[in-house]
Amino acid sequence: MHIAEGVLSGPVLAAGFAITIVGVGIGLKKLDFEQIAETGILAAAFFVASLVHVPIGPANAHLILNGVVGLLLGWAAFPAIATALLLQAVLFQFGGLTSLGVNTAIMALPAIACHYLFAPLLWKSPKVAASAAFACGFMAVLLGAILLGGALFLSDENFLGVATIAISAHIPVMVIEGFITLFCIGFLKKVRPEMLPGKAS
Amino acid sequence: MLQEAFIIRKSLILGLTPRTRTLAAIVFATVIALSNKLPVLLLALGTALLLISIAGLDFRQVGRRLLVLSGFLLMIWLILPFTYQGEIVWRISFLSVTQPGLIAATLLTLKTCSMLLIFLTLISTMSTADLAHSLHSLKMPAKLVLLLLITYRYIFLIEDELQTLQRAAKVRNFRPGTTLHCYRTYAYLLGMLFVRAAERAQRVHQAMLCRAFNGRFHSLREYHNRSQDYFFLALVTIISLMMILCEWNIITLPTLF
Repeated sequence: MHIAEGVLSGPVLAAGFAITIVGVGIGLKKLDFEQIAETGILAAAFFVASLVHVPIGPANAHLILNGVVGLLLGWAAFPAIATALLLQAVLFQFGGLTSLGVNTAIMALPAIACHYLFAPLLWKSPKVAASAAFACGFMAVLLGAILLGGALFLSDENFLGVATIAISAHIPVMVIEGFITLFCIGFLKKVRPEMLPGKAS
Repeated sequence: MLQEAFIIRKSLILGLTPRTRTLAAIVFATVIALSNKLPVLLLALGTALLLISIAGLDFRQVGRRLLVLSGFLLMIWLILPFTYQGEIVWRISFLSVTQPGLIAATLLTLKTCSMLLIFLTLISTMSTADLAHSLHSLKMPAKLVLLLLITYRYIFLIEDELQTLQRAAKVRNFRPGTTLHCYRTYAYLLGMLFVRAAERAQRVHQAMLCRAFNGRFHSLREYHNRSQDYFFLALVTIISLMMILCEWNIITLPTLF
């Protein structure tokens, strides 16, 4: 989920940078040097996980996992996602320098929203927890797609068609991310509950 | 497999410090991103091609890198000419192609391609460690630089681990398909990847403490600006100014040639 270089207008790019600078600032402030190794290595794991392509019918899609990132990292999701996107630009030329702010905001804002919405529900009854995990994966992609469409539309009203197609292309991804997040959180609850928020070892 | 981008061993561009290259890339990217006129974007594309030839990159390899844009550009050309409002150039049954739509698609293509090419030549040709240190010298916060270095350091190891896990699944006759079983398998596989990453992080953190880590990574290579850095930055400034003045209609580009 990223917007290529040269598509967005100046004000939208500037707004993206403003949001990202504030978000990264808060994230870094909450992160002391003790946790940098952990955040960095988890960011690397998310980077690698987003290389995995899962089949959807005859096509396939790569995972985004910003819901899981938000749950596991909280505000540190902002610097972690910014870092991962910069590396994607360097290694694969996905996105670039000027769109880094907007692209980070598109993925990290939903991650943090999902953290606050769903983290408190993870240790409720199994049914509530499972629905919260599914909703976390689903909503993170949905909100991201809406922000992506919004960024395109605000840049140029004639991008409405492109924005609509970009959002609808993400609908199957939302469902799949929901299921992947549901199972992944279930797995982590059994194997490593202390990695999830609200369960201090 | 992942591989480090595009490191070049010997070229004129290498004579410049990473800091100069990063600064030039940021300046060019900003100016081009805000431009919307055909002559400016042609100048941008020309600059990109000039940089590629100075850097001595193989044009075929660079072309292959451009392919990452093909999906996006295809979408742009399939949608924009038909959805833009304006004068209709020709009609194909119920679809109509508009002139502003065609212009917008052309400008967007030029812009995206030239920005990617400049990024590729100036940034992707340096090691990530150099990039991180140059960003630090351009006032990026130390913690973020550290995060970038650590993330980059472990991407390759964790990708190895992912391949091990995928191989294990394959050996057990796992075939991807659109089934809940498939998604569950992938989710557990990724969950395991995160668990291993967290465990590795703990070991790394302890090892760093043992070695008296004080929050700073030192670069083994030191760079100092030399005369060619100042010359290159002056050139970047002149070209960018030309783009800006042309974008604001203060000069018209054909008079420059």
